[in-house]
Amino acid sequence: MDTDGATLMNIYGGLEGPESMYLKLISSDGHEFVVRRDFALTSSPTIKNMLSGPGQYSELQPNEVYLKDIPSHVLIHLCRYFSYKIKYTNSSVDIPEFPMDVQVVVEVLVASDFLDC
Amino acid sequence: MDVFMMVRRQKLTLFIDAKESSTVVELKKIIEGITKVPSNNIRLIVDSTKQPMDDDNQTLADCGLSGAIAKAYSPTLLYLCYRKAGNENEWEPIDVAELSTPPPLPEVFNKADEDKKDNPQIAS
Repeated sequence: MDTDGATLMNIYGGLEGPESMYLKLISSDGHEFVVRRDFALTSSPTIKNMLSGPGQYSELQPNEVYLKDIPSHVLIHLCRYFSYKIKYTNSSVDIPEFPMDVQVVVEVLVASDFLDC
Repeated sequence: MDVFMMVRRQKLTLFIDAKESSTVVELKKIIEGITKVPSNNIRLIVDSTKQPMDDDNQTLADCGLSGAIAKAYSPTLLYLCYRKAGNENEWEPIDVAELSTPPPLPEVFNKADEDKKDNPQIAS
């Protein structure tokens, strides 16, 4: 019975364990953004380092990354950018332009420099 | 075709992608895996049509979510509601917390074109 539950969790994702399919990114104002683990780790080496850093007992870690310098209206654009980058990297189809509000451009630039993506 | 979705409730936003041919019940199971709320207590409402996705056997394409509309950089917005505790047939109202507001743009941005012409030293 237990193995059935475990495989169900693997198929449908979840937030637990070192191999969870999703990660939670938390902005400075407490908004929680859940994104696919592989999208975030591939797009941002900073997030990858944050997760593989201190803390040996990875099964107990909640797979959350607190980004206390990034407000929610910036983090939402960054999450969209992760999906965009993964989908269109090494793509053979024409890459559409990533739409961006002028108002948040400066803050997104600062945040993307921090996340190195 | 992959469909990219943003599922929002109060302060939580889930960025989920799924196949166009997958069903509503599979999407609810993914959300159950993340939120730990049983999938039969989850209600999803499409923002553009305000239609709840109540038929578990429909595919995402049947609900109007196609790969052509839901792009990676422009995910379709869905609202998430939980069933009210103790009451079988009542659902929470749609309630999404506002994101923070960006600060006002400095005036520099209004003169961006002029700056480019005036700064030849950047090009060299």
